[in-house]
Amino acid sequence: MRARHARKLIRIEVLGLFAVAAVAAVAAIPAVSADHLDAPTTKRDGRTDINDVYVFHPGASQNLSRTVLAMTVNPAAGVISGTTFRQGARYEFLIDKNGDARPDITVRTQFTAPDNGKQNYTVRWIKGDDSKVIARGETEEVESEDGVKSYAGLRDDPFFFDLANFNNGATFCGAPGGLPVKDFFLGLNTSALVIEVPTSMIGSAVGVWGRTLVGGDQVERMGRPAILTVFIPPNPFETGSTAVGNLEDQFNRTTPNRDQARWRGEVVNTLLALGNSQARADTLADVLLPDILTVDLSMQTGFLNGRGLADDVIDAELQLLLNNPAASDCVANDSTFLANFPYVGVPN
Amino acid sequence: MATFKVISVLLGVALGFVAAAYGGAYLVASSRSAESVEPVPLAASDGLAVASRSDVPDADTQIGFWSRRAAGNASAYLDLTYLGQAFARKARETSDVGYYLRAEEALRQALRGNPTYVPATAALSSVLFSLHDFDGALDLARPIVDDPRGVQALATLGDAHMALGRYAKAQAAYNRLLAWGATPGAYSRLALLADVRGNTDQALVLMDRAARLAQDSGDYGESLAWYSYQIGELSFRAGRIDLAESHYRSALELFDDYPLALGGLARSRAARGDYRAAIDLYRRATQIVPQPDLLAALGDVYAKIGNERAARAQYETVEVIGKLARINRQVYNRQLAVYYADHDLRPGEARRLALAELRVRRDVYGYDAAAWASYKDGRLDEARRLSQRALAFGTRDPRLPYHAGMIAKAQGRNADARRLLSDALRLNPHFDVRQAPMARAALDELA
Repeated sequence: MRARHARKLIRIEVLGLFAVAAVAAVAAIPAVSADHLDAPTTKRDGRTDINDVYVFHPGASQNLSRTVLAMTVNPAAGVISGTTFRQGARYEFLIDKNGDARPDITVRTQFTAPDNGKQNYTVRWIKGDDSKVIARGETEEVESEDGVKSYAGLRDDPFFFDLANFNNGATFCGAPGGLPVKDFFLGLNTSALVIEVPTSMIGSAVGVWGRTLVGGDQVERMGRPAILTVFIPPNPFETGSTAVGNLEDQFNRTTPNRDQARWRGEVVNTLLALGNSQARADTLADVLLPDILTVDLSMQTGFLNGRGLADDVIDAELQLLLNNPAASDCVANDSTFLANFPYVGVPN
Repeated sequence: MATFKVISVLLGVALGFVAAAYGGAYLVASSRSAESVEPVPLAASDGLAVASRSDVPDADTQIGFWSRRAAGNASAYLDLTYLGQAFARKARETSDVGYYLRAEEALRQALRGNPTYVPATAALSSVLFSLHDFDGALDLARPIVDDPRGVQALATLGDAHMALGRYAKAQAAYNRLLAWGATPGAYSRLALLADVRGNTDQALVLMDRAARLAQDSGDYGESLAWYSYQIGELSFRAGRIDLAESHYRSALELFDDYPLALGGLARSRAARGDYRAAIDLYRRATQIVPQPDLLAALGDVYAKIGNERAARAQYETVEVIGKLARINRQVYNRQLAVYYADHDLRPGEARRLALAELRVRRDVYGYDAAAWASYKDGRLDEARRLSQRALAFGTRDPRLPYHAGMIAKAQGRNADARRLLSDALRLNPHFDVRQAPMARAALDELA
């Protein structure tokens, strides 16, 4: 009661402050506390925070002989995150060719320190003992060399999802107690790393995931969209769960070959909470873990076969998880993609 | 470590028997040296670390962006939560309490849109804490501390306990916070708690760890500079002026014109007798943030070099804010009470303000401010009782034994007075440009 009263008084004081401005050139009401012991909230490093990973054949009619690997970082680049890549960090696409959830090919990109906002990078293709630089260049430039194209820089975020309704108890599509349908990501930017190679370099039936490393330690990884958000606490579906440590961080530091052993329980729990039978939950958990984006590149790509920029992965996953072919968040792609490399749209 | 255990035992005694523990915990703590830990200043080397770069969003950009998105859309709770956090960031960077009020409004509106959104509740709890509404902060934090999304609330819970002098509860909350994750926020809080308990070495180690973790995780701007500033503060209180200066300078590299770091550097320059530099730095700081304690310190340095007119101008500005503070008790009580007591002004008013503040914030500095103000108002027995409580945890801040020593001297307890005043000056012979010479003069009188 007293506190609320005091806050009203602070408002009155604002008016009073201007009245005595002649006495002292006081520009602003001074700080609340002389001791300044309020610890800050650490600003999250968006540079190694993976938004999405895409694997697709480019072009309207899908050129099967070419494959695009794309990774976006810096959520809400320029607003929440910065707009550069982290110097010295490793940005990796990992490709599993034999189904053991371990990488057989590593596509590693590293950046120099920003200089007036520009960075240089190299892309290295590592297969067994073989390691060669397949692309290099400067950010914000389309690079092309020996059949490999690369781009790293600020782009429109291709992702679309009604995040507000998701965090409101998944009240999509005008459900009771819901909010207006809206793509939260409309108008947001991201930093994108896009690499296009001949499909023959990769193979046909593979699994792909992305990860970032700082100082040699894996800090984030991602295969399919929204696995972390949906299944790992805190998530909106398991409202009764209590945290035992930072599970999101632990998930991000796990390598896929350990996913079944470590995370199967969390995935099954969420699937059961969503109304699936034990049998169905088990079947889905077999598919969803390890968290790897599986793709057969001898065919056209489209989620769940790889993932294209315009694919409505949210609807696809909702339908799968809720066992409801009509499930949707009622938000469709609203980005304009480019016909040519790097395909991801220009920044807002 | 054995000494630490001894201190812990004495703390337990102190909690139970405050009066009997007077002097005991403090004297044991004071025998330890804080020379063994020397944190290296953070370097602005990792691209993001310098806030003026255009590669990272500034608070105004964030405020503009989320305001536009939330405009006319009362249910845009996500945008409003981000907006609230941006206002809170701006409040920290400018020390302007008005931004905390705007943060509070945005977050309350967010919660009207989605009352279950835990991150908004946690953010609001933190803002209320910053506004010194400790009970309000606790009310919001308690129900969500077990929620996986409520980790920030766990930190605020501990912070509120700290402000209320409940150090054991603060320790429990901070231990839980650390168990959740080895984060800069956990380490910095444990550092400040260690400092209250007189474990300066441990405080430095923990704050250094927090600083490095923050930098490694890509933190930048004010929130990174804050750690350097805190290491500066810890160092200064321990009398390690050069170390303090290096960290204040590091803070300024990380966040241009950071007012707190300017103030710390000014105080360090004054401690070295470089009064011109101190004046310049205090002027820069007070132009950005006209805080009573910075204004008073500037006045004291002007007085030190004999510029009475300039000194008076600063003191008058403090008085103006003091008049405003009469209707804004939550914000200024402690600073103002200490200012009055330090300058032998309005003793009755100072005591009243300090005691009112103590009802809200019952930490060691609250007791110390009340002790000092009571002493200046001639209430020696009351002052002694309050001072004992201020010293109960062994906090190694020169001002505490200085105040206790002056009280003892006034009561004729000369042996206690000599010991306490010596302790203060041994910790930092230049702890305050005006008060330290008074401590020395008093000690000389007792010789």
